[in-house]
Amino acid sequence: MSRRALVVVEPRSGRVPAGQLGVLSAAARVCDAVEVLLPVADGDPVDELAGELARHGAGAVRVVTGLPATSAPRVAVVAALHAEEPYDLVAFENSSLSADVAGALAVRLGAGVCWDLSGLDDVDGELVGRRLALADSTSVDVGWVGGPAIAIFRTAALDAVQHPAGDAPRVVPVQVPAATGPEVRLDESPGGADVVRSGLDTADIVVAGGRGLGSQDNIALLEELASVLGGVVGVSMPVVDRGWYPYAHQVGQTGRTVRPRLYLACGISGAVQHRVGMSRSGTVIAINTDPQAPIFDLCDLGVVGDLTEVVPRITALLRERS
Amino acid sequence: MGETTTGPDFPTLFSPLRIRGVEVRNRVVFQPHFNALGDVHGMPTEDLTAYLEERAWGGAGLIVDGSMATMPEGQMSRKYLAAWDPRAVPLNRRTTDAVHAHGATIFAQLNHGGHTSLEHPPPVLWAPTQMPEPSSPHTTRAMDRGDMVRAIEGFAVSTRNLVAAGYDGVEIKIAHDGLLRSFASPFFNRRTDAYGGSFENRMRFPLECVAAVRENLPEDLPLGIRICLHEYTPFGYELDYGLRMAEHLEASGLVDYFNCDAGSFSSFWMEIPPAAVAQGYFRPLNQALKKQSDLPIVAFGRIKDGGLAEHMLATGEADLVGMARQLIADPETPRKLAEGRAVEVRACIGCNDGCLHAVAQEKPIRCVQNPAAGQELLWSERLLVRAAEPRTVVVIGGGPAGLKVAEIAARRGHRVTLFERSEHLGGQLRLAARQPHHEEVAEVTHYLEAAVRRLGVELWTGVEATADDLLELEPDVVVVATGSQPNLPPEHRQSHTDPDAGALARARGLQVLPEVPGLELGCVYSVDEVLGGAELPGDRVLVVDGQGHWEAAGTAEFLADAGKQVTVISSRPVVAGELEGTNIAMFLQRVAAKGIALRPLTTLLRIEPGRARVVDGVTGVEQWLDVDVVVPVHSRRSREDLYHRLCDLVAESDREVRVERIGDASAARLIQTVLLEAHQVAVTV
Amino acid sequence: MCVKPVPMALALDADSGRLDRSGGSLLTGVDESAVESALRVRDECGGEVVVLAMVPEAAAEALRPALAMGADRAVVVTGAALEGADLLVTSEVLAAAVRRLEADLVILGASSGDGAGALLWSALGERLGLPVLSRAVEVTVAGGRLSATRQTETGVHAAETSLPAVLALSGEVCLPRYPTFRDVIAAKKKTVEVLTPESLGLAGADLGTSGSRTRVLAAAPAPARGPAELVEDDGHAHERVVDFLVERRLV
Repeated sequence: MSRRALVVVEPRSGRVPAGQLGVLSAAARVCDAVEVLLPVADGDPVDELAGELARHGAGAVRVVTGLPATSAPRVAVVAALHAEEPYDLVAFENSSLSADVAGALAVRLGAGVCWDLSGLDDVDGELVGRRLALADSTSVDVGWVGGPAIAIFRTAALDAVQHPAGDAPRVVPVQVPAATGPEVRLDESPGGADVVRSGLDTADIVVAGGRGLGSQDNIALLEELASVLGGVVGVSMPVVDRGWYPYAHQVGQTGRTVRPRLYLACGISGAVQHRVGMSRSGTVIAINTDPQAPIFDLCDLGVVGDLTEVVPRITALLRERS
Repeated sequence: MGETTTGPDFPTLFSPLRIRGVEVRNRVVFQPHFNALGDVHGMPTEDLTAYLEERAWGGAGLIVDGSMATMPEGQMSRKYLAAWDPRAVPLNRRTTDAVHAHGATIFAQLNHGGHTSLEHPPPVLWAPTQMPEPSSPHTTRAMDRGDMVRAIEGFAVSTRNLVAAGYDGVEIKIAHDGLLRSFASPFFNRRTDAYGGSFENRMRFPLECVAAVRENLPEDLPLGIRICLHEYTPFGYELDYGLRMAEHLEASGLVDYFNCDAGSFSSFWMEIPPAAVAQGYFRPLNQALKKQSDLPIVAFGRIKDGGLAEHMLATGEADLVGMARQLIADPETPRKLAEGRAVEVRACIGCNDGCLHAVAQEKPIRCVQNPAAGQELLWSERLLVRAAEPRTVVVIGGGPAGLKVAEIAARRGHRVTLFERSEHLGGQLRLAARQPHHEEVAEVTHYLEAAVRRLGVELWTGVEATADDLLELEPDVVVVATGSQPNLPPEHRQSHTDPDAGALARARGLQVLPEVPGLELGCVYSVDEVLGGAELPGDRVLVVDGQGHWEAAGTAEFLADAGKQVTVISSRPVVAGELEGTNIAMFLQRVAAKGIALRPLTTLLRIEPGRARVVDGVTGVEQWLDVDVVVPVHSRRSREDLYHRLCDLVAESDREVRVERIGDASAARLIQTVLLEAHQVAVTV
Repeated sequence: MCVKPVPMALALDADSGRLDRSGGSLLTGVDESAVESALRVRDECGGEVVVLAMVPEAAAEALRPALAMGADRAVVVTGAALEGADLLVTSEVLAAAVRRLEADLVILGASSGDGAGALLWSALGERLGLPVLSRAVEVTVAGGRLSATRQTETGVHAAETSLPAVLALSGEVCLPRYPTFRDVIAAKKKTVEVLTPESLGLAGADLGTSGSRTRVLAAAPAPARGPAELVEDDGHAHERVVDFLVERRLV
């Protein structure tokens, strides 16, 4: 049976990000025919983009120009394409926009969505998604009942793999659909600063500090690193108790329980009250001057050193490399 | 019941270990310690049996009962168990049976007190060479050969009694107190006969005692040594010598395990280190002994965290983990760890206020965190019964008293709602934990807060309850735990942020304000303000210690750490004189290092902007001290107005509502009595 | 114009799509933010705030703090048939409840940017035929229109749409108010209304696991955290940290 897939991409600055090409590669590995929905703006190098997509497995590229960055028109386009000739798989890389599209699309098509996938396989003729759940502590295999299978992949989870087949894709233009209901209007001018108050609960990356900070001033070091990593600052109870940082940022038994993909524990000894709040984090990196600190027993990488020296150097190196 | 299963998180901790012919079910050892639960004749009381049984029930693998004295001349306290006395055998049998019933193993520790005693005045003290232990004014009797023969016989007789009483093994103390270490010590032992002079000679008498114990132990029962590896005194021995002692003892072939130890009476803050000594501080000692020895090693020294314990065992730095205070604070620690309930463990806070402070005065052991410690027969959590009729209990105040009453009432099946007017639970403990070396005090709140959340207590923080509306909640019981506030005049700044709650009580003559002129001035800062982070108008600070406990002492340190120039006065002969011994010893060491000036026997008369008038208690001479800030620490006043108003309203209404006030709302006190009081109220609801 | 906002304070477990209240009875900060946002809209525009959640009946008490904060009513949808509901089922049940409540504005608190919660609001919008404004960090309702500041990977942007609409907040976007003692007493006297799939006219429909279009085939512990790699900081430890982040695809 021939399996058809649609991969929805979002070019940024005239390029398709590597993670999205990764999704395309994964789809191409388990599907016989792969199409890509490529929204472009005026002036985007369509041929170049299409070539890049073809090299990663796209047989056809459906180009739509001037699509607003909202979910409703995308849902309409995909639903219309699916109505023409059904897909077995509709795949996205995770983003605010793709999550909005996928949720609505699931309802419109009566389809199941599996999210946060980091792998996709064909097992005995069935699609199987691979997902790391509960802060990557559990590996879950998920499947779909009926079709199409809607899949959202974790950001940057898959490697872009060049496809042996062609580099001459079929480029098919798609019309922007007419609005069918009330619309969301977006101001798409470049955005400003982070305004979320704490964001701990939803953070992917937490840069946390404890008593080892030594003084309130050093919290700025964490804030800088958090901003470079796109994370949020967390603190242990002694820090809140000293009045150095708001309670909303406290991780632990009497604070928040967080499950970020990366937890960077700086100057935190790792008392059990703190551990219960972060032990299910994905990757844990600990920086502490005391080599005996319990935190070193539950981290993946431990640095025995002074956070006030190591953290600024990490921040600087990350800035340099980006 | 008593069984513990292998916890997935602590596989090594909950694996059995064979010591000679005895299998211990897991690696948790309730370390031997004087608990003053013997009677004045050295007989174990029912309280002692219950105390040890509680730890066996809680899942400990090995319990070491003792120390016990080997002969009358070596009994460090009347309440030290008299192992030599045959009358103790059936009473000790009661203890071993109770412990065995829960699947735990029980050894007894034997000690001859030698040059150390807790008695005032002490009886004759035995030693290798006549000299006082440097921390004591009492000199010793240099032992002759006849004394030694009697001492050896004491070990032999005691061992036979212990075997008859059903103990599974015997541990001999060559540790922080007692006779045998003084023989091994080059400082205390200056003899020139066969028992001194050379290392081998110094070790001869301890080995003779060890041999006497071995000879009287059945073949399959193990013999262990509690060994002081480092005396931590300027004159004493250090780790290299402690290791040499261990090596020598091991080479005798008489020893089956070592239990690590450190310190001496002259450095007793290292025997039973308070919170100012880091957790796991002594690990290098355990590690060093483990490295050279083929015997099982019991690690020691403020180990209270299951993760740390597992790590120490898994990485091979010890074979068993000793916990005394942690199991005093929470007898159920092992069971909770084994059952995946590590977050429910109530941690020792290293305060020494309940345990060491009591037993050093030969009073029965107590614990700040665990109201039942030493009085299990009265207050054990095992005795909690589910209420026949669930009541609606409203608790006002989320400090330690309110949280404790909520915890116990909820465990008994009552419907509990708790209101706390501030954003956080914990009350004054949140401030106390900001004092240097006091972070662990916060674990009192940690435990209670986690417990009440787990138990489904309805918590409202940031909500100030008022008496007028309270009865609308239709409570059966209202517990007022509204705490206390610094007793400052209503004109003082504190009234802006912490409205004066004493007006009603003062109008009724139930409270008075302190009579020092000037307490309303802007330069007067309460401890609550200081620890709360108030910006002080100047660097010269006078702390007035009217309490003798950490409230003043720890605040003085807090200020000194912030760069202030601190003077502490007290009307009494000693500043911080109410502190427990290890704590005051280390406090005074830090005072010197931090440049804090202490002026005992000095009383505050009045305060004016920029200066304070004090009087010397000996000479009567008055003097102005130039200071920018005065921090008066005298007794706090109860926030009791809500209680009185509520009582009036209940009396006026036709409702049957029981109203209780507990904690500082009743009278400002230390945490220990407050938690016990809360427990006692909760069991009667 | 009178707005009748119906916020839904939902903290959804990322795996089951169900409200996870195992940890206690309190609302999470995310929930409180959603309630607070709704109360502010009501305080500005009038109307009524209803708190709605799909929870096991025993967890209904979890909504009481929202009543104390000032929500007018609390409604739970509960029923054994909802066990194991996926996105399609959850959105169908909630959409039926929202229709019953005739809401003008549906506010959701987002507990996870990656989980099912991030799909629910758009699924709900689709079911209701309403525009969806997601990842909002600041909200204004005026003149029958909903304006918000959105925060996404691409930055912070303004957006607006017409009411009725579905609004999804991005985490803890505002500080919730503390109730007074009188508010708490009043809240404790209110009843939490209970709806069931049957009372919503969904009897007999494929609900719960039976109606789900996804399934879990297998779950196993992911490879455990191995022994930690320890490095002493000799002035170059930061290089190892950054390399490690790259290896693990965390930057």
